[in-house]
Amino acid sequence: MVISSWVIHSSESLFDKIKTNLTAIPNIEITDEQDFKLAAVIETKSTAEAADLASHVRGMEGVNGLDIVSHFFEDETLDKKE
Amino acid sequence: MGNVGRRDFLKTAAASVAAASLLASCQTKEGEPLSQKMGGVEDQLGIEWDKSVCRFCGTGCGVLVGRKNGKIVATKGDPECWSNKGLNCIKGYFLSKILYGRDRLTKPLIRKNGKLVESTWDEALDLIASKYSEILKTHGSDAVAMFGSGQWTIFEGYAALKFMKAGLGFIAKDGVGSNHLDPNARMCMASAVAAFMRTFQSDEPMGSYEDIEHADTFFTWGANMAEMHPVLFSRIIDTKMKNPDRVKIIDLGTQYTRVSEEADLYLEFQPQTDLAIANYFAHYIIKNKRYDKQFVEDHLVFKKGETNIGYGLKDGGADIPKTAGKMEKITFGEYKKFVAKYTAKHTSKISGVPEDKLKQAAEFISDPTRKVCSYWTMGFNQHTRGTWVNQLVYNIHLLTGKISKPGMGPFSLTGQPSACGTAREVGTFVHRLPADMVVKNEAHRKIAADIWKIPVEKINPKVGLHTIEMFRATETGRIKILWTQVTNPYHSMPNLNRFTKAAKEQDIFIIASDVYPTRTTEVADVVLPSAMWVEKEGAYGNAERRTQHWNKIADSPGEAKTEIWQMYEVAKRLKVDEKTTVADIIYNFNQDNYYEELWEEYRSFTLGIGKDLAPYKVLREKHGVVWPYVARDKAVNGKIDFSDVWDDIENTEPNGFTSVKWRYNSKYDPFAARFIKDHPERSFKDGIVFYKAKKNDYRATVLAVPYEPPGEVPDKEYPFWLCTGRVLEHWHTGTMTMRVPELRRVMPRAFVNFNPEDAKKYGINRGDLVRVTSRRGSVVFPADINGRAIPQKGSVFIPFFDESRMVNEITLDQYDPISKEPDYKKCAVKVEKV
Repeated sequence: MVISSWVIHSSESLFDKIKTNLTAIPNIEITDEQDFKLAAVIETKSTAEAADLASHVRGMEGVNGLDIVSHFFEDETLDKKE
Repeated sequence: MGNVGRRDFLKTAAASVAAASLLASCQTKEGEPLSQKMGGVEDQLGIEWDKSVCRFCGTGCGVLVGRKNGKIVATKGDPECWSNKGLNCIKGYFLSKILYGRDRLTKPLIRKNGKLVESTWDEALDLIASKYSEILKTHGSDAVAMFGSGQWTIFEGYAALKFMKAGLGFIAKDGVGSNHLDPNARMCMASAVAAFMRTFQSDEPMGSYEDIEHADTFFTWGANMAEMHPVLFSRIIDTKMKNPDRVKIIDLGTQYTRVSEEADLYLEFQPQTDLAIANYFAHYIIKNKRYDKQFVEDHLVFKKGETNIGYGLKDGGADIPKTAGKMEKITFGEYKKFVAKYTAKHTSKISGVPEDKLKQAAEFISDPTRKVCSYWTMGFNQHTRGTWVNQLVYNIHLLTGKISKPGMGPFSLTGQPSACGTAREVGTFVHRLPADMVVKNEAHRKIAADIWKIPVEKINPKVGLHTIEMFRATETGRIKILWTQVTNPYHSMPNLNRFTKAAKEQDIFIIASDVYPTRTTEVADVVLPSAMWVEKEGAYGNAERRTQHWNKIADSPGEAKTEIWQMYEVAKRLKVDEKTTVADIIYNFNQDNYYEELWEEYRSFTLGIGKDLAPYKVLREKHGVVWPYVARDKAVNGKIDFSDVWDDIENTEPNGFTSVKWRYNSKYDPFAARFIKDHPERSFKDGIVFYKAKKNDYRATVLAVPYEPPGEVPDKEYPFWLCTGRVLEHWHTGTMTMRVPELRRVMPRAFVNFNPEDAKKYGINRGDLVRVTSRRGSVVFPADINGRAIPQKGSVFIPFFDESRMVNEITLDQYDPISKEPDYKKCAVKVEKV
């Protein structure tokens, strides 16, 4: 399990559409918004999956930018016994 | 804690830091309380946090690193670091993974019978020391070179500077140290350095990233900030979203990028013609009386530069006139006449930019109501007239008085995390000493010798060989020992084949300190495994003059050691006499905490001259400190009393210090306030004074230089321009990012990017293999069309990260005769489908 969070910068005209489209993606949970920016929490099986998803969202029409805020990847680093 | 409970905890933590980052972008003053500091709710999961800095690019994003059971398990953007306000770009996902590539170098290697074989540290260090002794005693310090890095920590750069410039003179037969010390930052921002020094007589920008929130007009010159400095571009987009009707982005470039996509106006120009466009803007400003008459009268001096200054194509710079850097004083009227020939029509003809677009852009940049910021990076710096073009943009800001004020200024972005902190500030260049001092200046050498407690005669007054000439000297046998640290020149040098051939065929002893096998370790005689990033204590200095310190957070693998340790161990083996070693002279520190002693010694170079760095203890505590970090009281700073001007300074801290966000402006910069008080004749209404420009009566220089073409242009035989650069996923020569499986999967190999019309004309489809040939060789790349960027017709773009197909085998070793920085953005090639 990898949990991360993003800030997504949206264009004003497509803000609602982007929000709707992001909400439809099961791994993504929109948690906050301000000034056409969205805060989102992402749960994936791996960092690779999270990064792929970030690239996908970054390429969506009306998305002006995507920044990573946090990245928790304990399961990828520590043995399960730990 | 169960998995569900842990998941909820982590999600809550992730959501709360994301919310804090939304809020952080609204904060206007550094140091305001934040809802999310170092830890957070996830502390309950047993994660220990410490501050650090991102290892990539020159933005200098603060990163919080979470550790559990001795391993890194989490990272967060550092909301207390004002450079990035809690945000990281997508590379932040992989920051810690660069430590864990499977082929990390863990043991020293020595070449025996043509093959690198494992050795002990003692064997490797004894061999290196014996080579140094032999070569220095036989040939003197002129035969010894070191090629360093803008990724060196400040501590490492300073230790290397002492090793080369202070230490080697004690055993060299000529009795002086070697100035053949240059960083890979020569290939990155030397043009910006030269231009700052020629214009203001002090290196580095006057403004800070905070300008982004104050500005309303952004000019990006050949800089794909959206992919190369994404966090800063996010800040620009944020500013635009808050006031979309007012805020404008004007992008000028040779290829259409994601910045162009977001821009209000895109000007696509022929390579090198940015020189003409900048001169046109100056002409437009003067012709339309948009210049700030008072600012011009009070603060500027006009000069004419030497022309036809060559391209460094002949070894030893034989095609460069000795007067290449000369500037002669002219009047404002003469300058006006000089730029008058750059009419819209003339400039359009040279640049290919339609006249109406030139006029629209000129209107934005000259509008007195607009707050303009200009950003550039390698497009300007890797340019055969890089110093000129940097200065031509300063011209625009100086003529309009849009400089040294919040939201206004020219700003050279850097490509490496400590190009400023280590290369420029420490002075790890062939001509420099710390804090803008130079080896040619006797008084500067004396200052350095006094601080280092060595005889001044030990510091070599002769400027060393800059990067291109240093590697050319490996061909002739002049350089006999070369130590490379934290860099990969046998991948990144232009016209690479000639240098690789020399490394293999000439009698030169190469030592490579690195973390992974590279093209440089392939030609090395000794490879030393290094600790990287948070495996050691360090500090970087970013593009906005912010110094950021971190502690050692993780252990390095195997026997990997820091570069400082490596240099210390070699210096310890270099005997000056029976009782003394070079280490006794240059690294005579308390070995329990030599970082603090190294820092404080280095810092003493910077105090009282407007380059003042923060004390070690402050650096450890704060999440980055912008210099000059000025102490009010003479008793503290040891040099100058600011107490009588202190109350007029904004942003002072209760502890009696201030970080200067806008240099040369007496409202923010105590040195400017002090200077004006002491020199009432230089006191003007705007409170600005270029107090470092003593040679020009404290005036900044406006330079008149023309458009001149680069050293090689397309012709019938080689009809395409070749431009090289980076991609989002990979950083520089890919030695770190190609070790991250996720990044390698997304971008496994370099490509040649075509304009769709050219691709159609040549019958080239995406994925086709294409041979790209220059006068220096051929390399085959898969074609890309309609990728993230679109080169203009008649040009191709190739990234340089891929060691399996190295574009530098075909680039040209031409350079700016003033800054000596190579031009990787322009040479002529032909293409054919394989």
